[in-house]
Amino acid sequence: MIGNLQPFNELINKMKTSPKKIIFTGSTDERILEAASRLLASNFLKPILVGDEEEILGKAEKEGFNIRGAEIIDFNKFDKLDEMLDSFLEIRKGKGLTRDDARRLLAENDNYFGLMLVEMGYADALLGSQKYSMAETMVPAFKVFKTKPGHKIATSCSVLVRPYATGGDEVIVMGDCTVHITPNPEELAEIGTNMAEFGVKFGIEPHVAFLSYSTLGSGKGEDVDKMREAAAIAKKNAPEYAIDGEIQFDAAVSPVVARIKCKGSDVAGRANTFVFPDLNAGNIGYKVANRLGNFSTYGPVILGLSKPANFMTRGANADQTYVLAIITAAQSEWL
Amino acid sequence: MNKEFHVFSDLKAKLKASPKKIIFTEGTDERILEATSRLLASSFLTPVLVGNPEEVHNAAEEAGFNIRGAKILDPANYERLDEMIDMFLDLRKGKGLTRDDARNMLSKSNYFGTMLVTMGYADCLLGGATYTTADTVRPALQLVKTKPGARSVTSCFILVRPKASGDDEVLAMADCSINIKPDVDTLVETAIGTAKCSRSFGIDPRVAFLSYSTFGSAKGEDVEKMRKAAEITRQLEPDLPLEGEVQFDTAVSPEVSAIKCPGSELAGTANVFIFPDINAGNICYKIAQRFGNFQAFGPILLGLNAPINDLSRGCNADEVYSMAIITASQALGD
Repeated sequence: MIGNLQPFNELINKMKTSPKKIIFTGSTDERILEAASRLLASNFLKPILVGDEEEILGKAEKEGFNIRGAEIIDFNKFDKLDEMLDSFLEIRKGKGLTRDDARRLLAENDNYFGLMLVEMGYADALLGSQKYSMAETMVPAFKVFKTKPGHKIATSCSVLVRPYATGGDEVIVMGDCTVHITPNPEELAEIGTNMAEFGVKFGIEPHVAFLSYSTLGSGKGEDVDKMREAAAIAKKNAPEYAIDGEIQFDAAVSPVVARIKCKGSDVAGRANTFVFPDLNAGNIGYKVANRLGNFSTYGPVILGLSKPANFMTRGANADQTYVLAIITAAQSEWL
Repeated sequence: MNKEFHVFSDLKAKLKASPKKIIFTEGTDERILEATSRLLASSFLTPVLVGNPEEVHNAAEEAGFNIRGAKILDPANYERLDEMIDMFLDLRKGKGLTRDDARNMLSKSNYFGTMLVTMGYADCLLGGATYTTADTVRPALQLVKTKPGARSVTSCFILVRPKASGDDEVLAMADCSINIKPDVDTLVETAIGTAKCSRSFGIDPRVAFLSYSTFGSAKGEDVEKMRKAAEITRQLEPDLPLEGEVQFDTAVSPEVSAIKCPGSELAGTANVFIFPDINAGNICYKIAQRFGNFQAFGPILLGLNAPINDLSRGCNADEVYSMAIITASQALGD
């Protein structure tokens, strides 16, 4: 069954007028086969599966997903490999790679191959499979796509959605929950402004809270100063967004607590975009919201790259894969 | 008043069988007076208010809370003050304090109240509705002191929400308030203390040492720290079900646990959560509270020789009442 797609309908409707293509790697994964099958029921996003055709079709038959109509590209039968290797060596020039090194990388890690397919224009975006840790999985995307102008680093966020009892959906964005272990103030500022930019595109009016165990100086410590500085940098770099910090989570979301702890803030009590001080807090925090707050989570969504590439987590289900594919493709419009 | 959770009815029943005495250091505070009035309606916990009796009575009358029957102790007029000063100087010996210094410090309600507990006049103390956590913890560390073997004070929160079935879902989270960057030993103490504390709330503790990594899926200092803390805790408490380092989804979801660490000890059934630092702890318990609709009770200070707890300055009378019951129940022993 398909979960609540309401918050993503606008993205889908836009793509219906301008259909996209997305590369999937690790295509024998049944979650990808299910997502691909669902996408093929419609025309707004065309899945391209990377892998051995026989294996993929065999697995799809076994799992009962109809993927008729899906394009499949196999590295071993790829007819433009020479052109791809040229392009890859050009992108990675100065790194001392030989042509054989390049061929080996593309053969061993299908995410490299998939990214290069996007780079060459076969598709608009990539949804890759997770290999090793998420941080390591993302490295090829940074190397091949690079950050877009004005962005020093790539960051990540998760989109969290749950229905209001009264109709409509509560949509929030949290980051960085996946990539940066101990971001410094500049990196935190970029995590925040990247999410604000993403939020606007996604249709939420971002109110960005830089979270801490302290609210505007109520507690002390290096990490308190770090978050305060990060919020200040973000405000300076992106004055168009509502940004505040350092702030505790209760003051960020509760108007009652906000009135007591930080009167006059344009973020406190109405935050919907949350910057965590480090990966401990970010990764645990979004999972607490997910598991105890009953939010559905979609991500990680990588922000700040010149082309969209995202990667599935080990815990993702087919619903999440389907939605992440839609978000990833939509990112190609926004970049 | 909120509907009372089962965990509190259970604690009250235990206290009825063994009533305790609690010091409130802020006798003129309206929230304290409301909680006092409610406690005086029953007999499982005797409130003792610190303050000038006239001021306390006036404040109670003003706010409309009947505190008839409450014991009030005035630091400015306490009959056993000399004895208290002797004991205080003994506890603080080597610090170069004079008798006048002691008298001066004991004129403050936090020090005075803490000495009342130290002298055995009361079982426990609750304060901090109008002063900082440090002003609660400092006298506690200096006078009540940490338990033998405990190197530091840590803290936990108990989170409760009603299940559709009518039962309560009860979790414990730590340390969300005291230690900024706990080291391995502090994490171990936090875990063992929180597990023990959680039992009085009906939790059969299953402890997860949280991280952004599950059994080595990612790397980093804090990953190592949590893994080590789990290992040492296991050595010290071989019968305590635990695992770590582990991500939150793996800790609470049997499905995710089956994917990420098949055959693990907790298999997605953790109910006690140890955070790597105060960033994670403080933010995450508040996420659980705000997004998960849990009521959060705490911080409950762990590792002291007698129960002393700190109220948040934004607390309400309900919270004072609940924390008083929790604090007293910490004095019940094992």
